[in-house]
Amino acid sequence: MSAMVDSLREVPLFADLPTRDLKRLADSMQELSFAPGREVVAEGKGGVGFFVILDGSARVTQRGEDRGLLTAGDYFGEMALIDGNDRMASVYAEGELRCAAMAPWTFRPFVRDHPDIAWALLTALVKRLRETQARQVAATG
Amino acid sequence: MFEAQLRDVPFFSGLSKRELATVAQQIDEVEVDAGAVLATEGDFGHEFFVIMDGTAEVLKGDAPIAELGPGEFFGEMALLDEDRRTATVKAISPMKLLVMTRASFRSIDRTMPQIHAAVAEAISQRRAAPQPAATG
Repeated sequence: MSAMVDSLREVPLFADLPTRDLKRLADSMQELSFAPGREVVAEGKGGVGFFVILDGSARVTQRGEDRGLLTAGDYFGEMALIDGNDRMASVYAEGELRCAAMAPWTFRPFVRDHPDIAWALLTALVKRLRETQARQVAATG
Repeated sequence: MFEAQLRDVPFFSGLSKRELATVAQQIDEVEVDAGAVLATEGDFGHEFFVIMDGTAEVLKGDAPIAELGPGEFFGEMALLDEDRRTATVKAISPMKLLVMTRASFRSIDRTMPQIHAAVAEAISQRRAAPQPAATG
């Protein structure tokens, strides 16, 4: 379990968490491994996991288009957990991928109890929204 | 796979083998430890659960009002866009659960609209019954 705590400490989203909270977080997360090419999250489907990459990298695609690579310390899956709607993109293991996964019923109380994490998630979502808008303007402009 | 358990859930009991297989595709199987809080009264929740193994306690305020075991379900109101959980549900043993999100249910609802009617019926039956209470 302390290995999980050490891994989680490397995740920027959790960087400011006190050790006690990191331990509680590690307790509520499950380590999952994915073979290369394995789909972790499927666009358009429902989802019950919030994922943090501990090791390896993951490819994000949307409507068949490449949306980039996520690596150790990155997270994904939070949007479907926030509004219960479909996954907005697919995520595949690029090589061997090791993640820490959190269920929605743990994620929500956890974010609520850690306002700094809520803020960090909001900031990332705003960034993603601006990028999406810029892409749309570029496509039509 | 777990289609047999799905058949125990009232609103899936009338489905054909193929329909059950479609529903099963939209379902995640999860394991939780004792003490896991699966639904929190007043909170948002988007998941519906069917218990395969283990026992859960239903609480209103801090008062336990019911226990749920294998074959029983909770969280069904989340399937019909009712956001806030009406009770807390906590695992009191390690549990194996089938989980469906609202999004998954919606995609099934498009192809099998009779399920929507059946879910609404199950919810209104639960509301009418004195026990066990609806958990959302």
